[in-house]
Formats: sequence, structure tokens, C-alpha cells
Amino acid sequence: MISAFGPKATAYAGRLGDIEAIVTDPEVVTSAQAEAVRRRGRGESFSGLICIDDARVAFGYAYAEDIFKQLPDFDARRYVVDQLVLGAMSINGKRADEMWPLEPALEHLFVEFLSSCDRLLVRSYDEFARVNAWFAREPGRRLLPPVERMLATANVPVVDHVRPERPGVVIWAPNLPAHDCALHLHGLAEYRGELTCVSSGGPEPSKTTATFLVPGDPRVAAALSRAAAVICSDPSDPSDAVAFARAGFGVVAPITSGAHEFARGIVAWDGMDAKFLFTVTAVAIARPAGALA
Amino acid sequence: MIDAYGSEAERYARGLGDIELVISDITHLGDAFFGAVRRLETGVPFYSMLLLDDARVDFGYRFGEQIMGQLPRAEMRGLAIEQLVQGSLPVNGARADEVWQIDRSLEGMAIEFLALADTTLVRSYAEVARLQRWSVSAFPPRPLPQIERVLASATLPAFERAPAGGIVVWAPHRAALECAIALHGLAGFLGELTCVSAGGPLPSHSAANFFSADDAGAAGALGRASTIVCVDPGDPSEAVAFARLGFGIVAPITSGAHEFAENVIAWDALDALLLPAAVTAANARPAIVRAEPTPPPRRPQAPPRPDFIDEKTLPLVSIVTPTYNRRDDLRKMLSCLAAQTYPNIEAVIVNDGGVAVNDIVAEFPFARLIEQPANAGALRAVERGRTEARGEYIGLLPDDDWIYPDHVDRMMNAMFRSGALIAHGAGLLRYLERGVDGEWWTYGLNNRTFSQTMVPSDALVSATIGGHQMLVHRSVYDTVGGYILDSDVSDNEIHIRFTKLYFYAFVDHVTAEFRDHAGGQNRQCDFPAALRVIYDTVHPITDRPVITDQRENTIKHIASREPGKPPFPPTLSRKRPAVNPAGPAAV
Repeated sequence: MISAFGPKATAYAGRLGDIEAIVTDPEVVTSAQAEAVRRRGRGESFSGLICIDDARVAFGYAYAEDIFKQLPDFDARRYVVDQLVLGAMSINGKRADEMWPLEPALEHLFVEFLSSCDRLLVRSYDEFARVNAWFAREPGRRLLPPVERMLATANVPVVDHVRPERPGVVIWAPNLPAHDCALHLHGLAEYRGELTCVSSGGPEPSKTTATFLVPGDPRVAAALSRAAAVICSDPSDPSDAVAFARAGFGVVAPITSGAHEFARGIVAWDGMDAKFLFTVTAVAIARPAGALA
Repeated sequence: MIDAYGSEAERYARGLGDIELVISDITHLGDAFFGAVRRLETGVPFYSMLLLDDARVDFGYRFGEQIMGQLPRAEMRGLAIEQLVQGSLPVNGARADEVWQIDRSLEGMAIEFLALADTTLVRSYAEVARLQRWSVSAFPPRPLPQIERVLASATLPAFERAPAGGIVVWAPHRAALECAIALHGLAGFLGELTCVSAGGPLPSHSAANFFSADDAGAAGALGRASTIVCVDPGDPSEAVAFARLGFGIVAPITSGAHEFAENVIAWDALDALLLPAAVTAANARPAIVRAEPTPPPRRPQAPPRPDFIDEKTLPLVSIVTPTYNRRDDLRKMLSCLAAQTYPNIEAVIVNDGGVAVNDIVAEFPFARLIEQPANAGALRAVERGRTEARGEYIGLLPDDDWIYPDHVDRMMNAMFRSGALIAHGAGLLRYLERGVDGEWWTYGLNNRTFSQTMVPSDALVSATIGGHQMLVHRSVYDTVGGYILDSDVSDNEIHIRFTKLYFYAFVDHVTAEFRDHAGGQNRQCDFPAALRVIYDTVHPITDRPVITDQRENTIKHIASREPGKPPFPPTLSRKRPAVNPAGPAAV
């Protein structure tokens, strides 16, 4: 049985099957900790997972559009993206890379919770490395519990590929508001082809010619059938990227998602580097991904 | 076949079986680079692999004893370990984490080397993370090739297990001194402690028994051990082999051993103070190998053609070549077209008023000859060949440049599946000089400058895609026109028009070569003057000051180049040896 705490964790847990685990959003980790203590008291064995994204990429997704809105000039945006990638951009007098690390107290709570679990559940070994960094920063450092990597069931449309008349690319962000796709859309502002962004909706980023769709729209399947590449935005969950790879798309996915651990040919991308997205997309449309044995 | 460069690579390669691979130690990267280029020329896919340990852990192993040996008291050594883990330990006036960084140019060269192959082999995903850091911080950033994880087979001594709570520090390929940190961590262990190393002077302050792997003492200690502390920071294979036998295992996080076996205690290999807890935990829960990993295919497999392409009706590709008084070069160039794996090619040879080449062209049934009435320059010859080409797709190939056998096939596949009307590959710059025997000698290579794609804004400034790296659908020329004549940078200029309308598919694999030598045209041109005409007259920009600045800086930069030198320097160069260099070790 999975005990899930928080909306993201609940949605993710629904795709994990029947396992003994506690899955939690970071905001409610104390509730998860309490459940861990209850289970421990009953002598149960269980795994633990915190659904938290890489702090740097999450910061970029959340604030890029707010930054871009202040910069109508395209070249100024390109410059700012360079600064953002390096962490050097100044925001309210502070460097960006001083703003995105987690609070040590929060990391400590995470370590407390995960140390209560028999096993550490991770979505990729890349995530394992991030969790390891929390443990390494603990005063008096602690050992990591044994690790178990698990790939959730994906939820992507099944389509037949048709021969495209021009290059088609789909930005796949069904769990993100359109606003959070600003980095991707800036990176592909000079893209010449059919560009579709599948998001959970909401206000659209400025200065983009993409077509915005929400999951369930019948035009999503049509766009995918013509697409040579899918840019998967999820910074941590590789499951959709792997499903697209198995379907023979070219796939771009953030390095932090660890999608490249599950499928051959996925083009791993620094999810912050909008400028580099143009290059990796050009590579992905020429390189179909495929399943690993 | 494996080409292994360096002793570590040779040893590791023996555990990989029969596989098409170029593998190197970091110390032999240059030789491996040249070896990989020799493989590339054949067009047969192969893997690349670089054995490089995590720099931080490697630093700790190499200098651990020097640090520990200077500190007589255990608590002082503990403090030093704390500082080493944090990177703040002073080493010759600098912080340790400033000292252990790998040189950025070496990282860049490593990425260039790995990108020569279709697929890079890694020992773990932890290793991928290290390579990813290099790839995104390279200039320009470059995506890694496809990744395959491989687990080498490991050979352990024969022994019979009768666990009695002993601990073995397993480092058979490292000097005993490099085990100083692990042994410091286990200094308080009261049971049987054994260190299996490659020998040499022993670390200070350790009560361990030291053996080499083939010593009977090592086998005995393994038999009595409950826990193995595997020291290798990059190769998980021995840790996994011990896991198969049911030992408790402590292994560096950087080795990725935890990816292959459950219950492996992943340990920061510098953190000696945490090692006692790690050993205790490992002793309590023996490791269990997850499903045995599937070995990678013998050679990387090229992507298949999309299902919707009919193999029997593949479109004709025309390769246009201007030639002028270079009969030998022309024959070689036609030979490389004859070797193309794509089956439907015509070569359009335009003799630009030079010596007769009918006899050479006649040797190649797929080639036809167009004679210019008089020498009118390469661009006019190209334009004539292009307009008379019959193919649906058109490529250019100067008679002194080169494409590999898979070039056309890979470009066509990329365009078929993507719908792109332009595809290009990566281009290798080969730097040549004539030897006293008159033969060309390759003294340098560069897999960076022409191995990037074209962002439209960047195309307004300069281009790094040569004509022969690309294939272009003929409709593109119909729409935007051909090369402008009478410009030394017409191959730059055409990208400004192309990128306004088209997105390029980028096959990030070297399929074409530029050959730079003292007599080459690219060393004789007045590029600044030619660029000035393009910037000011052909494609003026008035509303983008950033682009204007970049253009001015580009002209200044090119004007500052030393005349007669290569426009782009090699990223790797070598001196001509007195005798032929020894080839790689065949494994």
C-alpha cells in the first residue's frame, strides 16, 4: 500500500502499482514522517520518496517568464538566459544561485524522513545523487538507506507516425502551467517548423508562435503523429520521456530526470539552458530514441 | 575489436568481451583520438569510452597518505578528513576543491573524443553525470552521444567462504598507499582487517594485513570476511562480483555499484569518518545483485529507416563537385562517393576549365562530367552543377575534402524521419603538412569548430557548417536562391538565408572532413573584407545592437589572426615521430 501526501505525490503514487511505500510532496514531509513512524511502530517495511524537483531547474521554470516579461528584446533575453545558466543573474540584489538552494532545515527534515524508511525510492539515479547531497550536508553525516529505482507508468497518447512535411516538435509539459514553459519556448523562438506546447493550461508565455494545447485535446495526437521530436519538460520524472522513446520519437529530456538511464538515444539537456535547447532539438529530430534492453 | 590506449584501459578492456570499441586512459587521450578518427573513416559504427575517475576521490586517494602521514594524532587526522570531505583542506595555499578540478581544456577534448563514436560506453550512470557536467560546460555546449552502460566481467581469487566477521579493503589495482583514507576510517576496527592492493610502501597508522590479490593470504582473508570495502572509484564490476557472492559491500557512490546490486552501501570515498558506520550497515545486510545487465550489442546500431520510407524508391541524391587541375584529388573524392552506403547517388563533376578529367570520371559509372568553357571560379562551377543536377537532394563536395561512407545515408535518414529539408553532420578539421617523403601527415584534429548546428541569430554573424557537411532539398535553393558569386564567404552567407526559413536536422556525428593545409584556400582569403560586404551590404542589421557588436568583434578577431596560419586552431596536435608510432594494443 502506498501512503501519499500532497497532490503531486498522490498523482505520482497512482502510477506506481502496488508497493509498500510512503510518497510525499516536500511541503507535507512532516505528515509523511509521522506516517513513517506509525508504520515503523507496526514493524512494517516500506520505501520512501519525496517528489521534489532539482532546485535549480525548478527555479528556472518558475521564474523565467517573470524575468522575460521585463525584457521585450530578444537579444536581451538570450543574454539573461546565459546568466541564469551560470547562476550569475542578479535577482533583487542576489545571485540566482544563492536563491535556489533548499533551506538546510528543510533538507534536514527530508533526511529525517528518508532515514525512517527501509528503502529510498528514486525515479532515477540522478535523483539519487541529489538525495545523497542532502545526506552529505547533514551535520554528523548519515548513511543513505538502500536505494530502489522505479519507473512509473506513463500517460502519453499512442500515435502512428506519419511522414512529416516539415519538422514537428512537441513540448510535453502536461503537468506544468503554460507559463512554466517559458524557457523552452524562448529556446525555440527561432525554430522553423510546427511547434506545439502541451501544458496544463493557463496564461501563455510572451513572444511565442507555438500552438498551445491541453492533454485530452484531439489535436495533441495529431501533433504528435507529425512530430519528429518531443521535448519532455518534467525535471524529475522520466516516465513520459521513456514512453516517447519506446515509441520511436526523438526525445529531449532534462538531465535531472535521468530519462537517459532508461532509453537509448535520449538527448539529455540542462533544463535551464534555453539557448542550448535549439541544438539538442536539432539533434533529437535526427536521432530516434529507443528502448534499452 | 577493441583498441585500448593506456594500461588501465588495456586491463579494463579484457573484461568487456568482443565489442567494437576505442577505449582510453585520460593520459592517452590524444592517441585514442587519432585512433578513433581512423575508425571513423571506415564508416563502421563503434563505441568510445574514457576511463576517468571522479577527480575529487582520485585526489583523496593520491594524497591521502601524504596528508595522514604528517599528522601523528588520530584526532588531527580526523579533522583533516573533515576538511577534505568539505574541500576546504589547505593544500599548498589553495583549497583542496580548487586543486582537484580537471583542466577545462582536457574536459573539452574528452567530449570531442567521445563524440567521434556513435555511442559512448559508461561504467555507471554516476559516470554519465560526470560526463554530462563536462558536456554542458564545454564551449560550445555539446550533447553527449548515445549512452550504453556496460558491466565488465571481474576476476576474483578462488576462495571458500567461512565468514568470521573480517573486513577486506579491496584495491588490487591500486598502490597500498592509496588506501590510506579507507584504512584510517577503519583504524578502530577490532576484528581481522585485510587490505588487498597492488603493493608498494604501506600507509602509516594501520594495523591491517597487506596482501596482493594473488597471495594465498588474500584468498584466506576473503574467505573469512563478511564485508568488502571496494575502493575503485569508477569501476563497479568487482563490487558487483562480490555482491553475487553475498558479501556485505561498501563501495564509492561514484562507482555506481549501487545501480547493479541492492543493499550496496554507497559511500563518499573520502569520508573515512563515516566508514565504520558503513561497514556495520553492510555487515548487517548482504548485497544482492539486481537483474544481470544485458551487455550492449557488439557495435552500436544505426537507427533504422522510418517505416513509411520505401527502400525501393529512395530519392536520388546529387553530389556536386567543382574541380580544377587536381586529378589525383578528384579520383580520391570519387572513391569516397563510390563507398557511400546510400544506394542512389549521382556525382556531378564540373571541370572548371582545368586539365581533362574525362578518363577519371569515366571510371565511376554514377558520375557525369560538365565542362566549363573557361576557368570561372569554384562558385560558378558549383552553381552550374547545382542547376544541372537531377537529384531531389543536393550536396556539395570540393575535390580536396572528404565524406565518410555513411554520410549521405545518415543525412537522408534524418530528413526522412524529421521532415527537415536540410540536414548536416559534424565536420572534422584535419590539419595536414607535407613530409619530406611528399606524403601528407596529419598533425592536428578538431572536432569542435564545425561540429555544431546553426541558430538563426548566430548565422547573422558567422557560420560553422561547411557545404559538404550538408544535404539540401532542391526546393530550398528554388526558394532562397543559390550561392552568391564573387564572395569568399558565400558559404557563410547562404546560412543567413537558409535559417530564415528552415530548421536543420543535426546528425551529431562526424561524417565529413575539412582538410587544412598551407596551400588551402581558407588560409589565403581576405575574410574580414568579405564579411564586411555581407554585413553592410547584403544583410545589414540596424535594429539589433547585440548582433552589430558581435559582427564587429568577429571582424576584429579574424583580422587579428596570424597570416598563413589555420583559421581555426587544432584542439589536438602532435609532432611527427622519428619512427612510426606503435599502434594500439589489440585486446
